[in-house]
Amino acid sequence: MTGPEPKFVGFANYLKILTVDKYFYQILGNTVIWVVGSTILQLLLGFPAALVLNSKRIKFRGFFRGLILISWVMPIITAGMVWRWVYNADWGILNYYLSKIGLIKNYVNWLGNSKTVWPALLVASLWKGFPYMTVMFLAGLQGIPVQLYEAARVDGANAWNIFRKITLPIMRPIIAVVSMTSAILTWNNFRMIWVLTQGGPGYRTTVLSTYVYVKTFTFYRFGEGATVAMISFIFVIAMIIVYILLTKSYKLKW
Amino acid sequence: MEILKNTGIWIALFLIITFSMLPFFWILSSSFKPTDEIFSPVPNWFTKNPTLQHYKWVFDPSGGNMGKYILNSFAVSIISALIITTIACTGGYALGRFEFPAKNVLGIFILILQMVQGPLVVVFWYRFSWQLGILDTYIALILAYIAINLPFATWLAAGFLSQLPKELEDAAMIDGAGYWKTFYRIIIPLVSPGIMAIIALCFVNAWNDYLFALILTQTEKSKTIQIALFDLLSFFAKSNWGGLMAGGVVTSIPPVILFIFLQKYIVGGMTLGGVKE
Repeated sequence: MTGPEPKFVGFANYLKILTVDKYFYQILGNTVIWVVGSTILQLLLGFPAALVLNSKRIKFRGFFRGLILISWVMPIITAGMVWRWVYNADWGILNYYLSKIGLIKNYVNWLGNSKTVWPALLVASLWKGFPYMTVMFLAGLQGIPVQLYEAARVDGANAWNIFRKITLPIMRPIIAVVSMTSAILTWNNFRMIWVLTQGGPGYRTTVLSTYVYVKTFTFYRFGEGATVAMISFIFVIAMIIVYILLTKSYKLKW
Repeated sequence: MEILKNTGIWIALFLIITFSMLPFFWILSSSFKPTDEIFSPVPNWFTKNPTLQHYKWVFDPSGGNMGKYILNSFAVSIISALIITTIACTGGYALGRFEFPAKNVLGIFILILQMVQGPLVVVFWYRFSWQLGILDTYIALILAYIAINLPFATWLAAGFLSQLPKELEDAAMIDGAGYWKTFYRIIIPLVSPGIMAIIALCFVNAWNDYLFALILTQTEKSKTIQIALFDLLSFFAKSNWGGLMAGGVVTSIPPVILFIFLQKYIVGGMTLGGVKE
């Protein structure tokens, strides 16, 4: 399983991946869809969820925060079972309810169809990842001094204006930094795609992280696997630099 | 108007919780159904004939035989969490409470290490373990978990420790305690909630790990419960979903319980980096 003795080949592996490999650029594009799609969806649910959980109108806020964290702490294998079951072509509950309300006529193989597989994966990723953002945003929201809100209310500001002029500006740095963290984690997130589609159908949902695995442990091409990992690493470094610049420009302490 | 606002926000909360909990509730409820009900074409959220047969199967030596895999998971998770926490506390103590040359550079370096993870390093870990002859042993997994979790654990420890008042050491030193004694007699007891959070997070990270267990384990000697379940998920496809779902529920129990009891500290730890101004 370990191949012949290693020998130095210069940039041969890089040339091969970047010029000969006919899947590489599709996979790079997939990775961008995966990272940008997951991060935006998680932000779009994670931030409103934090606002809701921060509301004084809700009782037992700690309890509800605990509830939504369950999907986040659950092992990926259980999450994989959950969503394979939801999306199953023959007995999945999504097909049942969608056909019941008349949105689809025939049952869809959500994870096996190249048109539906990306939306299906991104919803599963949203479900698993948004609690992290919510918890981070909640901590930020709880740090906003109450006096600011009171002063605004005395001045006659309505809820929308308070949100736009106080909450959003204070939260902007936190939103930027947490989104960047989440993007980096998603870039390296191999598990979700692997347990749901293993990168299929074909190479439709293969991303750089699953490609490293396939190259190395399915085809036993260690050199090429390491090369893909290095190319992926360059992107991660770029994102880390953005992350550091963000925290520096916002003077956040980390 | 107030009633309207209250209703609106509760509806929003209800929708979020439903989206978050419903899929999990579905496999929880299915894991108690008799096999023929699991594949019923009409979803049945509450079974009238609850059974523990799938849970029995999970532990049955002639069935799922998951006992050994669960034991493996516990062993590597507990051992690695304790080692990581010990190293992280001493490292975090230096990083959080002392001034020394290039401290900021070191801090940023540790932060970067925290993000260079998973697929970027798997090829290395496989070759490394193979060359040392430790593939398919606890040692390979424990070493990998220490390496991946140490950066973030050190950051957390540094964060907790830097919040203590500086006078503590001075007072202890005046009373004649050395650095080491001050550290484990005075400092460590004061941050025990933070230490619990680090142990818990490292345990959960190791318990939930999928990628490293996938490449570093091969047989039941060291295979973790996550990989044992994934093997079933791939091969069985349809035949034993009941047992699979029961297994999925069982493996979720340790992380969920830890989060329920230590939620306050863990959330405090998670949000320590990045959000504080």
